[in-house]
Amino acid sequence: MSVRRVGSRRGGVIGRRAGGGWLVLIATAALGYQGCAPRPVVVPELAEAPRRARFEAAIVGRTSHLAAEAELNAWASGSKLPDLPGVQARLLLVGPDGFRMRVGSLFGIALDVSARGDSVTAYVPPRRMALTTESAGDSLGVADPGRLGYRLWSAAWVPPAAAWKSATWDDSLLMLRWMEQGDSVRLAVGSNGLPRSVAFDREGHGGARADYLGWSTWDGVLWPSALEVADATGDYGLRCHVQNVTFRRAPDRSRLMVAVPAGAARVTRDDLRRAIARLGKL
Amino acid sequence: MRGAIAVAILFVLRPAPAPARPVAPVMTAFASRLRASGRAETRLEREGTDPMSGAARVVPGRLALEWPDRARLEFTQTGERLTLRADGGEWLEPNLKQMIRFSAGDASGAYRWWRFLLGADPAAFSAVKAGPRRWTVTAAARDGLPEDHATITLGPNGLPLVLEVEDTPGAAARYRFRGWTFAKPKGPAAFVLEAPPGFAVVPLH
Repeated sequence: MSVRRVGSRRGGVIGRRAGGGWLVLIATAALGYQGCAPRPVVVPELAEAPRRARFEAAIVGRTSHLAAEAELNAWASGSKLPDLPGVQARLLLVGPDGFRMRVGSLFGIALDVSARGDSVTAYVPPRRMALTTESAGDSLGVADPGRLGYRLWSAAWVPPAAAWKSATWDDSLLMLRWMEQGDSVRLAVGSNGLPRSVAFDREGHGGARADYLGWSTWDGVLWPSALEVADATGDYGLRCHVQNVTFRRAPDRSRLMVAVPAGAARVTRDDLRRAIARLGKL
Repeated sequence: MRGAIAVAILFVLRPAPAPARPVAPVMTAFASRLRASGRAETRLEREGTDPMSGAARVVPGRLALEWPDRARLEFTQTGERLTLRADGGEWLEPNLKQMIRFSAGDASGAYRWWRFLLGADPAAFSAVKAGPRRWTVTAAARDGLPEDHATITLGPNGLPLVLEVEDTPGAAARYRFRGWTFAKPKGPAAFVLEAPPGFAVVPLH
């Protein structure tokens, strides 16, 4: 039996872009078994209008449910992280700008983190350490992480109309570009009308990229089932497999609240980052 | 002024909190049988409420303890297994196709409540009576771990019935033990896990 290092085996990084601030998530997609028999070659349709129609129909399906819950298997890696084991987590998304993730541990919960708009609460129960901020853009360097997380996990990227008008083709992908809060955004849309990747760049601050590598249908909704996020430097990344997605039409934002015990130590971003890097030591 | 005096009187007259006491007498029945036989086994159910969905979840499993320092936990539905020993242990997670190997220090947080059941380090714990056959147990801060609390409820026979640990406020995990049996120990080899083929083996630090 061989001993393998997680970081060398699995791709993906979670990262933060300095200044502009980007949490990045990466995922790998499990392509379904295709069989060995020859099949007809399907040439992707290279027309913008039908692709846009598919894109808009699909995104309505994903965003009409304002709350979603899911189970995650996730693997973090990157040059700034030690080798970490995979983790299992539960994810709650509440549109348009909230998410919460509870990461399991050997004995209970290793990390409970929530973002609502620009507010973030993270609690590490084994260490009784908590970070709370109402202005993540200033204190964490990640502007509006709640909205970013919601869009990332649900692939709810909505290009402005002008981006469709100026869209270009890159092989079979329709590439849309626009500016958003100082970031240059590039969205690649596949022939099925689903996002294939999204990338952000801000001059002088590097960038981040998310790849949607697999999609599955839950409750009639096509939803990302495998994604990878990485920053441009490869410092941080994350690969996720998403399972058992359930939807709620009436979101309860109180479920986003992470309760922190009164006696918990309040820590800085760097303290929390170190604690998360040691989450294996539970 | 009268109000302040009334508050002061009420403060003086309020029931004094139960004093913390050594934990050993609380666990006497279990510890004596475990030490006499060497091994204790039970079915268990891990109960908890997901604070994100509000849904209750019950996961069945089995627990084996061997004096003085061995614990093995298995969850039958998920196939998840965990072993803890004085020198560390393994955590097998079929859903992730991985087995984590860790040292005793890596798992000290997870290990502390199984050590409490084992009675291996009674000086690390104290207890306050919280009701009939119910105790609030405090694990002292040590090895870089903060002080922690759990609640143990004993059955009429003095054996552990429910161990309750609160991860986050309002989200407790309850380990309900159903039917302790005692037997000869199987020895250290029964508390070492091997990864099935195709599983990643991940050493912690």
